Amino acid sequence: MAHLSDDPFPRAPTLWHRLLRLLATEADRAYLLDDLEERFRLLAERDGIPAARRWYRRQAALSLLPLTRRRLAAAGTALPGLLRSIGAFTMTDLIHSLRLLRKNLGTTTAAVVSLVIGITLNATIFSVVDWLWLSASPFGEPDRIVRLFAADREGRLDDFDYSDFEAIRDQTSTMEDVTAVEFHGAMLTGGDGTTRTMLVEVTDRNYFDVLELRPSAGIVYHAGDDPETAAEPGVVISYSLWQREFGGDPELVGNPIQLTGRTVTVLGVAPRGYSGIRRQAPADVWYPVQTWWGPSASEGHRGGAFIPLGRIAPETEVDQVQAELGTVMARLDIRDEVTQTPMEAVVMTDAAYQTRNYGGAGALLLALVAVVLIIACANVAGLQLARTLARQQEMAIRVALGGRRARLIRQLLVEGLVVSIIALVLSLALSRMVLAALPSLLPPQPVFMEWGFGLDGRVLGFTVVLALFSALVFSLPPALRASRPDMVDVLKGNDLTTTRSGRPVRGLSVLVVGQLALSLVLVSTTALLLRSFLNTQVADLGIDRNNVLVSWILPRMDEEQLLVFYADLVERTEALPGVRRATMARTVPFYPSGGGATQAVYATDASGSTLPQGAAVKFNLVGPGYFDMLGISVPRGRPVTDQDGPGDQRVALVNETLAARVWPGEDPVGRTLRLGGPEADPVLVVGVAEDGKYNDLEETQEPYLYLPFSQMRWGEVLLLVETEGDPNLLAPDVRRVIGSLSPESYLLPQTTLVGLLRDATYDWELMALALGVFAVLGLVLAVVGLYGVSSHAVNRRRREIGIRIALGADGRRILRLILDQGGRLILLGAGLGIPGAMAVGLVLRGSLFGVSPLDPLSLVGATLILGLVTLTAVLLPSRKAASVEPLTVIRYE
Amino acid sequence: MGRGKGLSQLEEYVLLCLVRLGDEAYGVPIHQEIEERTQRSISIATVYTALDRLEKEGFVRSRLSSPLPERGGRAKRLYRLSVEGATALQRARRVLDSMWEGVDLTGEVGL
Repeated sequence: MAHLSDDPFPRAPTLWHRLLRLLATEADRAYLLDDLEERFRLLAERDGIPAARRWYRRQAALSLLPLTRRRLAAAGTALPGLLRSIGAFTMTDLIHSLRLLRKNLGTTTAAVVSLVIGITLNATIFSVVDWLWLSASPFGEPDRIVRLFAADREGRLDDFDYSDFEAIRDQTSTMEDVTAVEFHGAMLTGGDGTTRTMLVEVTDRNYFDVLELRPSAGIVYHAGDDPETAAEPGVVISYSLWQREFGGDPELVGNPIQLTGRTVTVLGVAPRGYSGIRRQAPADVWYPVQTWWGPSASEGHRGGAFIPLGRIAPETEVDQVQAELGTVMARLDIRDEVTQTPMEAVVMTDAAYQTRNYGGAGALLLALVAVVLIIACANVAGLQLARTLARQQEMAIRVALGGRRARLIRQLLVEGLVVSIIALVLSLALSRMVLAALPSLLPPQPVFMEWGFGLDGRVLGFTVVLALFSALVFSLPPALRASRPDMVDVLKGNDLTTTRSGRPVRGLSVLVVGQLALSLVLVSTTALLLRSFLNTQVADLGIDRNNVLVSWILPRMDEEQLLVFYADLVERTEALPGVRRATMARTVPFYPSGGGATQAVYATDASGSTLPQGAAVKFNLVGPGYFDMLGISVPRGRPVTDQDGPGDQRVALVNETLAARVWPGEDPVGRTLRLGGPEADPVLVVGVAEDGKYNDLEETQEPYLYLPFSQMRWGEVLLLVETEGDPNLLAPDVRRVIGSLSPESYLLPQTTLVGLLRDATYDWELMALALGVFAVLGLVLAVVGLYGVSSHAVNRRRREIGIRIALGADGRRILRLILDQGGRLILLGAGLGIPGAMAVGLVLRGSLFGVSPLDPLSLVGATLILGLVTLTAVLLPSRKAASVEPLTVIRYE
Repeated sequence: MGRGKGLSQLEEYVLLCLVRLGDEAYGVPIHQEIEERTQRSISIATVYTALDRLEKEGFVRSRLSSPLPERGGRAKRLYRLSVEGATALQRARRVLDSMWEGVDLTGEVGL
């Protein structure tokens, strides 16, 4: 035997290999697939890998039908009567089907195209949903991993302070061990001096042990690391980062990298494909909390936003963990920061957490693409029915000659199977392409996303089952109907696709009505979500989004230099041509980081205050001109001005909600607040700013505080620049100014207020986009179906129409005749679709923004769109009917 | 719907391959031999379907080989011709010969 070439070991095309494995019976898998593999390797050696892969694909394609047949025959022995005889189809059936399908190339193509649209859409969406929601958890023994949260009265989940986490870890016994994770942004400085931002999971040292994750290179940190090692900042990086930025260089392990100005050692690389505890926001670096925060983290460090993850002890239920956590939380007296009411314990398994996050959207997407597939199946069923009815003569003759009904049904099912296998192969190829292109087709993502979806075994299995099931759905009803030919009609040579009154037979009408109703549901659901998305774009955010460029800066200089730097920065930026004005701020609404920082507020001179003493209130530091630039009005008092310098009286502005909480019915201007402690120096309230959204479009109105930028130091700051024209055009100039004043400082890619808002509404945009695509495809399928049925009906009635015209009916009358019929179907479809659409709207209530689930505009609009498009589909064949030349038709007959 | 004891063309080819290949015939060489001699692409699944039926009719016998001690080594199902199979092949040959008897295509339809 020839010596097989060793490495690289030639690999057969994965997709085809998986598909064959899926179809093959166990016995076939043992011999047949191995044989294929063996010949593939022989060929690869003789003719090269590309030729061998081509050969393999060809072999696989040729094997699909015989394998399916072998599979069915093997399964068939366990099935009763009719099913078994259907399963045991023969080559004759197959060849007959292929011949018939080729003869009717038009309808075959239409059927295949319809199915390909439906199946591709389902395979694609399933693969995305599977990745986000259903795929297996990356942890060892994932069923035992739980996430711990504190929930407020409205069920919103909150995280824990580090000290609370430590208490939970030490005081619970239902979990073997507990770790905790906090998310941070960081900048990696590459060899060429460029910086890239990435997400860091700042974790307790036992993270990798609790979650049972093994490094794919190097080592990870552990709880028991000796204090010497633990004091050195050592991190673990993701496999993806290792590949992307360092080309998988094995030398990286044990060597330093630059992370936001710190030099840290790469201890090792996380498991391949692992991206942290949140799948939609992949982390690239794991950093021990003690070295990130310094020793304070373990010395009762207040603050932080840690999500604890625990490994449940053996034979313990989630409920027990939750009960115990509740007791510990009550003892710790964990309260909601603003309302100061006690928080509830919530413990979720990893699977439950995924379902909570993605289950709703995932189920909605799957349901909607299923609707598109049903419409596609209805199309194919319609085509099959029309075709089989036209073949009644063949059926009748076969029945008359003693053909068994099961045999007829089998013949028709085999035809359906052939159509759906062709569609399956095309769909798999197409969804592979769509999935590869998807990341670039989507609107730009707010954070770097690593898309983990693809055509894996699960998606393949799902798609194959779907295709086979569709084949059954669209070919069984026509087969049952057609295998019972009306012998009298057939023998009289009557047309069988229309009833005697000239209408399409009931089966066809039912299909068309069903399709129209489903399309209406699709279109109106899309309209609802589209309107939600549009509402988010014009929502009252309390800010006026004009031309504002936002540049994030992390300055690297000492305190004294900072103030000069900021003053110079604003002055030099304002001198740029095209700049109206510039100012500094700690953050802006919807900025992805820094939105959660709070000040403990003590209102010592307010008697009627409903705000608990020491309540944590979110705040911003703003420079002069901030309120004007963002269009936030200050109905009482004054905004922050140049007079509020570092040495002057400390001042603050409160938002309307905070004012109403602390001084209900009174004027807050001139009153004082203490920040940080009841004994702190009083801060004078100089104005009230209007309410707005600060971090999230869906947040309830929160109290908010504005402090002058110059009266408080903060590490990371934003330079806000209002421009005359497109702010993006000035981004390089502003960057240059920052660079010239402080070449050491870190910068992030600049953005604009409009860009930030776009990122904040990304989910809605994505949903509206996805649904838009579904609705258009669904509508196209339904219209094609309707067009097919109505032109079929018109064709069959040419003779009748010819006679009518000969007897003096004019074009308009004929038009009305046909329209009447189509119109009735449309009305029926709408009649069924509208209640359906209303029901779906009610189900979706929670996902809508600023639009009623029964929104009349969406419903009426959808009905109108559908009516218009479908009328066109009926009108086209009708016009053909009206222009029938009576002589031609009658002579033809 | 059995096709009785007759042989289809493919089955005939498969049996002939077994004669040619001797004791070591299994899926890969049989498939390869047929493809190369007929200059046609056929699927290996079709070959196995033919082998299955031939075995059911008693024309071939199969046994499992022990796995080869090499990389990717595996157990193979080895096939050989049975006495009944050889008889069936001979019968097929006779039928074909008798059909050809006295037929001379020279000069016919331009040959």
